[in-house]
Amino acid sequence: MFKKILIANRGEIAVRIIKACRELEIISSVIYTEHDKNSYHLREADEAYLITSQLKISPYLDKHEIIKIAKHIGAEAIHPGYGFLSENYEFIQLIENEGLIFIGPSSKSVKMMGIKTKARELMASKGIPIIPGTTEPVRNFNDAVRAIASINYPVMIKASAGGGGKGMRVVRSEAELEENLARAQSESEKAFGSNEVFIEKYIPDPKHIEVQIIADKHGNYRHLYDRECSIQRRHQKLLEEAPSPTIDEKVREEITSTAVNVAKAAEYVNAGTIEFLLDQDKKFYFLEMNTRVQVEHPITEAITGIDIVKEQLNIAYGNRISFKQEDIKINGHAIECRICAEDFKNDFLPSTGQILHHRLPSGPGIRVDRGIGVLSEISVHYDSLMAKLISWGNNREESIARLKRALSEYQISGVVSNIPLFSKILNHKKFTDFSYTINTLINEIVHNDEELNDDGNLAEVAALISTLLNDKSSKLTANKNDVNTDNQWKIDYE
Amino acid sequence: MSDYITAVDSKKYHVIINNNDVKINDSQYKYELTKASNAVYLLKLENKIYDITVNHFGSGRYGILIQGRYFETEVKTRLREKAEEYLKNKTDVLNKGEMKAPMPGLVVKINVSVGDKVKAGDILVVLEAMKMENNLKSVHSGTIKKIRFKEGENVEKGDVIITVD
Repeated sequence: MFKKILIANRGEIAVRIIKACRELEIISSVIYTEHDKNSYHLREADEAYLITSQLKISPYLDKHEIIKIAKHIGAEAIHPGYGFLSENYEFIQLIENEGLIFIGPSSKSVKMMGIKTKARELMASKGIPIIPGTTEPVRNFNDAVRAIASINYPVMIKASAGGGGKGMRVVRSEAELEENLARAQSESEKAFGSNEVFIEKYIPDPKHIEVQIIADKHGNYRHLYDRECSIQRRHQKLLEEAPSPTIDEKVREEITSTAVNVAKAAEYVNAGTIEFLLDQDKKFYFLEMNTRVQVEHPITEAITGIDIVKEQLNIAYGNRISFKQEDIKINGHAIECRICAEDFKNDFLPSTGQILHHRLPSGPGIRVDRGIGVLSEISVHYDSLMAKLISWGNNREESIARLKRALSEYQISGVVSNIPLFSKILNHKKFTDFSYTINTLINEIVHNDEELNDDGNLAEVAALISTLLNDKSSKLTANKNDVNTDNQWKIDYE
Repeated sequence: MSDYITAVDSKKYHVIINNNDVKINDSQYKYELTKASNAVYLLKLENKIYDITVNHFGSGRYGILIQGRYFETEVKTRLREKAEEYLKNKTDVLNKGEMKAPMPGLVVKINVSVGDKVKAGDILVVLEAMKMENNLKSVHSGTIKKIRFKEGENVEKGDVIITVD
């Protein structure tokens, strides 16, 4: 096994990777920036190195600087986490050229799956269902009209290099086409440095289902079943569950074997995720492949018992996958909430500040993967994900009940968090009967006036505590943890 | 005895504190308050102890997290509340406002021009920060008096972007 690796990331995923390293007795080293001096991942790592960049970019994106540090400290491999450079094939190429190991797929697979039109073309050639539309870039209005002739409106224009909802536009008629095409192209140019777009049939109110796959360097491919991530806000996932409550065993079997075929077509190695859209007739279509560890991987770990990050390290080292496909059965149900510094009552405005207090929930079936601790800063420099709360239960109901219980125990102070949003989602009818889709407006849930039973009472308690704190005359009893002034063991100097 | 009006997410409560008793609207409780840290307090009301996390926002404003629910509160003495009510009815003094940037970021879009009439809740500015676009809404109704930034410019936290009169 590796003796030492460098983790080119921060936040909860860096901490997650450190935990896997510790169990495998690998020395974990991390990088951090000036802004990140109080970050939690430094406290957990074996070694932490300050990184500065001469370039006008975040140091976490400075490929050459990161590789320089890795070589300098004697790390044999680099784990990219998710985001940042995780899906940057040039970074992977540089690592490969320097004789280091990238803990993830080859630069070739990443490049192949990163350009959406190329990925669609490849999948279509292998008989994988793709959303009807173009597999070649659409350059102008005439291209677009020709492409739409065979699929009809409404259609979706998407960025070839895209992701995260940027450069994505729905077009309902030819009258709207010209302007939307121009806007999608300019958004795409701005966000990804390429104005290449393609056109797909618009699927109304789909669900987002994805399959976790793992492959090793010896040609072994496995899947770890499916996840459903349909609770989204502006195309960002908020809450995920595994297995999907929407699909039955027949669809599950088809979608997981299709995912394995996608991985094979991409000559994929290491952990990856195949995303699908499921339409209202429960037909699924290949959407894209995420060539990295996913934020929501813990729910798959919870229902399969496989430590995905440890598998990643093993596979990168050259070992075989540690389990057989037939040994993996779905055990129970798991749900993850992304705990973010966001004020959902105030239009999801990000909240910045220093964490003053952080108490984790605990008890049966509860796991928290966190990237924050007391004193760490939530700043505008990085995304607002602070921690992930994961619950496991024997079935969906138990998983939901445990999650609600854990949410009521979770305490964060110093920023406004979205913890209360999840109680609202979990109590909403569209969640309990899983009729929600990726277009279900989170606002519908946020402004759901069905008051939770105990809200009235707790609002009163909130009024009382605020008033008492504000009232100068209120006397606070000393906390037992404060310096004890009644100490009988004082040394008498006189 | 102290007499307060405390707003919780825009609902108002009348709170009277009297030694170890506290009265909220028509309910009276015996209470004990223990400070665990600057952010955590234990409040005992009769036979129930609440473990409460507090964000202090200053000048009587708090963010209160209890059992997974979050409330924004504002405490005013009854006297001040009455004075403000009176002023509000008398003049439009509270109708004026400055929209400040809640965080550093990039002004992506400005939806209004000087002279436009706006209502409270209208989205005036889109600010990009933390990789997300955020809608900044007017808290006041009135007329746009001044716009100090252009689309594409960076703002620091607290910068006044727009003045509403």
